[in-house]
Amino acid sequence: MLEVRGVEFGFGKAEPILDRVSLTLNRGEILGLSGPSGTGKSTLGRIVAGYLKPQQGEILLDGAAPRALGHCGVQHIHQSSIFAVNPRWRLGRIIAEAWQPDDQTLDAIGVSRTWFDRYPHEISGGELQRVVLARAIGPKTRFLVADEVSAMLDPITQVEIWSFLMERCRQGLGILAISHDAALLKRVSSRQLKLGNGSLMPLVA
Amino acid sequence: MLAVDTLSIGFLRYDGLIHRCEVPALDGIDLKVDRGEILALVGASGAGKSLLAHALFGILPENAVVRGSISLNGEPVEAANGGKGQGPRMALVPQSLSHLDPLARCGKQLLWAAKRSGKAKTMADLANTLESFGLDAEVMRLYPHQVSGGMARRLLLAIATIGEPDLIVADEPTSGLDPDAAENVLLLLRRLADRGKAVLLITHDLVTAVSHADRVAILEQGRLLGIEPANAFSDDGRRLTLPYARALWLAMPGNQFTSAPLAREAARA
Repeated sequence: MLEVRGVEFGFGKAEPILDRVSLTLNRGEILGLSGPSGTGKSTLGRIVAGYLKPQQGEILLDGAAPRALGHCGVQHIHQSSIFAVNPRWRLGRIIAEAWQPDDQTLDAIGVSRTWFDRYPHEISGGELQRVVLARAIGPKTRFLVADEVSAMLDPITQVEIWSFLMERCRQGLGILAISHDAALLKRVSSRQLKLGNGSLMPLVA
Repeated sequence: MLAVDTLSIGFLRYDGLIHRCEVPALDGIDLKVDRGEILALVGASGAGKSLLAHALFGILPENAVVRGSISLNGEPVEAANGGKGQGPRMALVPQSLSHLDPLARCGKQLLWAAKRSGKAKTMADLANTLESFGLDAEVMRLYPHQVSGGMARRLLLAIATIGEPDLIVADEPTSGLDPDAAENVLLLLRRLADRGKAVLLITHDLVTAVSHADRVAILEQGRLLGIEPANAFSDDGRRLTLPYARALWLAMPGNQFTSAPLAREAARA
């Protein structure tokens, strides 16, 4: 279980954008998170995955703080994947950074082996998004923060990626799905929250 | 208006030390955009959508090989003309907000665009233009990092249209915007088309394309599969003639959210 307890966060001296936010994400669950631009959805995602430290509150993975070093059980998919890779590494090295993805995973996500000797800027944004997803989805990953993971993809590829993620959920992976696309969240998530004015509200379909 | 005739683009790559080979990227594209219409160009990432836009404005990389022809109002547009644009006759709304100069105030950048087009504009004209895009005259004094993504997007539209071009090419104008801001940008493009401009809307977002365009051109792996009327994308897509267009439509989360495994093969057949 992944718990967010009373998280507060603000940039600089401005009003905090997250005001005592709490949520619980169970294993095998896809929780949808929506809200207008600039309300702090991505910031919350980065805090949950440990990329930002909350000013108040805590994140608990199965009752304990997630590991700060080594492979973290909560993995994060950045909405602009080009910012999440080392531009001087070839893709073969990038994809094997956390684990060696098997052929089945690569095929399901649609990663071509012919990309492995290229650099990140030599494949398209949608292709890089798939590489980053394959890198994050190793056996030690318990929870995934998916920030607009399919916004750059065409509808068919989007279905393929989400079919794969939903199958992984049935095997116990928990996903926090951040998106502007209400129709997508309605399709994939079992429960939805909406962020606005610093706090979360359940969204009733 | 705009006519693209059997346009092909390839890239030269070194194959070994001396020998060079050509990697094809776009293959035999034919399309026309008329006055008063929005033609949406839809395709998966890597299909070559932005390449087509770059070819129109002659801003392809040096190793690009271009064949075929592009004409605007019957006059040829030199595809690989080393960055010399078509002046006021056509304008690009670029995909990335990084095309704004971070060190110049928004008003200054709009003024430069007006000067480039050779049309005399007063400060009041500039303010009126901004206002027609829903931007306050205040914005003129701000730097690009001080305005939101949606405002920057509208500023790029204002810059592109201040010279009153005949053709506007908008490359992913709604990416990164929330639904309300995206809707605003699309309504602005619609208004330009209704005033007699031709608009080429490049997007990977089928919902955007279908709701605001007149016709939808489908690009896949560098080939133009065909052009469908936008209103054929409805219900179960029975009125669509291309199997790939139908597969894209049915894959939308608001529709069946299915991917027929044969969809891709059907596209290539």
